[in-house]
Amino acid sequence: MKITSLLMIAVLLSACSDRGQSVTDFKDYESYLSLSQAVSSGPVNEELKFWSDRLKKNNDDASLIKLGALYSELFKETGLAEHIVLSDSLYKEAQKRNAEGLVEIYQALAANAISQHKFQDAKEYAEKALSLKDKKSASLLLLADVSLEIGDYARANQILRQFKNKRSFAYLIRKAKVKDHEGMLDSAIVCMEQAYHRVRGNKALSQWALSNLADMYGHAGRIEDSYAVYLNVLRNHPSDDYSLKGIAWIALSHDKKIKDAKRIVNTLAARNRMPELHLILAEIAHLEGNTLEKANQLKKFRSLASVPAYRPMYMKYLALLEAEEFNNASAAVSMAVEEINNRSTPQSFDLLAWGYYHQNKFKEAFEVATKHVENQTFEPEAFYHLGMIYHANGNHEKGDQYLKEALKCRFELGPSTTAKIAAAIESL
Amino acid sequence: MRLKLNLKTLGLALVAIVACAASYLIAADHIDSPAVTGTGSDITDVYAFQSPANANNIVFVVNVQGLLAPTATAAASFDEEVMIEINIDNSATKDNTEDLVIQAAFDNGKVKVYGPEAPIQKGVMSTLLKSSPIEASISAYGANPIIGESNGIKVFAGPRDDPFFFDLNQFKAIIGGTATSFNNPGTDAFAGTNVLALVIEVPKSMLGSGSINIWATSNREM
Amino acid sequence: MMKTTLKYLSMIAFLGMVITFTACDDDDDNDMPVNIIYEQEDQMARPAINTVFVSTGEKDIFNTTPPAEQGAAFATKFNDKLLALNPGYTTNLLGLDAATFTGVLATDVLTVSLNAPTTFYDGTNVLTGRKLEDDVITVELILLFGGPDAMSNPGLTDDHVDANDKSFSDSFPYLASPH
Repeated sequence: MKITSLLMIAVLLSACSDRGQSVTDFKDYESYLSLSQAVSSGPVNEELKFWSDRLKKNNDDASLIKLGALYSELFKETGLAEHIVLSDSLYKEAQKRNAEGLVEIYQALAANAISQHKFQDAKEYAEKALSLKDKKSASLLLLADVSLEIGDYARANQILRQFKNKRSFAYLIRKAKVKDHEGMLDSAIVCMEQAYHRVRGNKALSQWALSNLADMYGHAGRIEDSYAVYLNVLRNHPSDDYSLKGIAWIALSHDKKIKDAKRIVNTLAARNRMPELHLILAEIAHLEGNTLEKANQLKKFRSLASVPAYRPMYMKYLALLEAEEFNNASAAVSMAVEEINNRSTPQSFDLLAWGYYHQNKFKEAFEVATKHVENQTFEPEAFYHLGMIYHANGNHEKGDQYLKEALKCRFELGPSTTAKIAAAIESL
Repeated sequence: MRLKLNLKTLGLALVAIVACAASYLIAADHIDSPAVTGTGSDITDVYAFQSPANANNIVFVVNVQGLLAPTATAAASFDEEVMIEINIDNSATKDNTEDLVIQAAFDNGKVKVYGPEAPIQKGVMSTLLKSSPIEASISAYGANPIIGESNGIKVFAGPRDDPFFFDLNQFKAIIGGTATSFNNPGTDAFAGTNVLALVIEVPKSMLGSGSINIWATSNREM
Repeated sequence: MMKTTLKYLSMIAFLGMVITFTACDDDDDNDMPVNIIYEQEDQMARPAINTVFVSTGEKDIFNTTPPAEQGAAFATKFNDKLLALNPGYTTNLLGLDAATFTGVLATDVLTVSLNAPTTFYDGTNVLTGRKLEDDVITVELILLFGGPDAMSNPGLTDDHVDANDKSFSDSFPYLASPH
């Protein structure tokens, strides 16, 4: 066990170090930028027509449920909130027609609620599905998902421990999430690789596993592997915007190819409503020294992400911006409290501490951070905040250590946060 | 937690080691887990009949993943964690316990069919048979069926029209109390949709004599 | 393009690599098993039995109860369900009273004849198999609602969907090509 831990430390230490060479090549992914939205959602749209026609003709539950699932899928492609809202209403209409309630519909509603970060609703739906007893293992998996999201790691672990199929895809991907949360990235990668092997024959699932693996390879410092896997996903699914976004980040944060990153993100922003794309464009504008454009992009993000359907999904981002960019720390604090009510994770408490820090309430920040954040998450953002909070409270040794730890993840933090941390180490 | 304790004992650091994870700029939330429902183990129908092509054979059909729209069919695939088993009771007393099983496992685009053979394990747990299987590539949507054949056994796996027909919606309406009788003509709820079909044709001589009781199961690898 | 292919290959090589010192799961050993073991999730023989007779909350249990034990566990429940669906049930075309009929149904196996015509019901042979073209639902509706002479509840004994929307083939794999 000790040897394993030492090896793990060695891997983690090397993992976060920077490698000099450029990884991305515009020619590799150029062709994926020319797709129109119509092309990318083609198969889903054709299927929508099939079930809409059938619904008109038969007015049946099965068509309602199929349409609900398709709009949920479409939401993942387009990022349009109206699609997930429509999905919910189709499921609810189908549910109204079934006196006892269908367990599959409660499960689908729970999954939709997770997508929308309505975690308390998700939990209720998942519990309701579980109470109906049928399809129990799916209900338990959903409860494990919700538990992970709301920070109830004990319950998630308990469900996973009792899960019998420990070689199944469903188990392995959740175990990967747990390991990731515990800061055991290498174990998480092994879980996700095993999960991928389980579903090689399934196009949708194997792509899902690969795009998650690509993220994880990036976090492990294996930028080339990460890039290769994103490209592999795109080869099979040219409209996978998630992978293009991953490549844009490598181009920006690792290769410092600002122009290439901008071309990708501008393309994505034109065909997909993911508000966070404007955050990356703001980062790019910042690096280009274009203050006006940066402010524009941040405002665009705020107006897109603040609409009710999106707000819970982007609460964290909105709170960070209020604190760091819009000079409105009290708004950040109240958003953090909302976020804690939705999900009391270490990351949510980190937001609160960071809000207090920006209000110059260093003591409160310290209390929250040491009680709810420190040693409970190992993410670089939290380490950055912990470092600043320790400094502000006079513990410069720990402050520096946290900042230096955070700096090992310069790839994840991006150029401007990295610069901020480096400057803080110099000056504090 | 354990990581941190080890570090302390080793005297390496005062603070835990960072684990790099996405920052808010690139969206820290991983993509949501794929749907837990519709995982491919739901059996829609089971058929067993004398082969129209050879009176010495019995054909078994087990269908999964019903209600596939035509445009969704090409992307549909068998769940590779799921083994489909045809259980056969050929005892004289018909105790409804399997004396023989035929197992179909799906791996990397192929179906592998084992048996009919005595099961290694009876009941709700199953062990994959160790004999060499009959293999066939899983047929693609729109392509000619690919047939695996050996020892007089034929196997097919791939998308087909759903052979089931039923006015399910009107039946539900009757059960639910919103209708009192079927319509004439009725509406086939399965018309125009596809399933993933497993078809296995076996010489009767391998199954027993007189009559047999059969049932199909889907089983997830542990 | 060449560069991309090489990267792709290296990735595949990596994914195939065995990780020697990092395990996914400390609760479980990850050695390749000698036996590949499966646990049952779904089970089916006669058409629509689970849909019609098994109540919400018991479908998982029904699907994982071996047929030899299903009768003891479900016959009474099936009997109650039958009488709820058709309170006027006396006997059916097969001459079976409610308890006998549901006793048969609760053990969900399909009998297949190896020496006689295989059919769900063809006017002569009863439950000797299930052919693709058998109108199994109408047969079941008659047995559920039709009374001893198949004449009761005429509105409930035929869904008036008598055949598949595509015709079947006489050669393997018999099912029609997909839509």
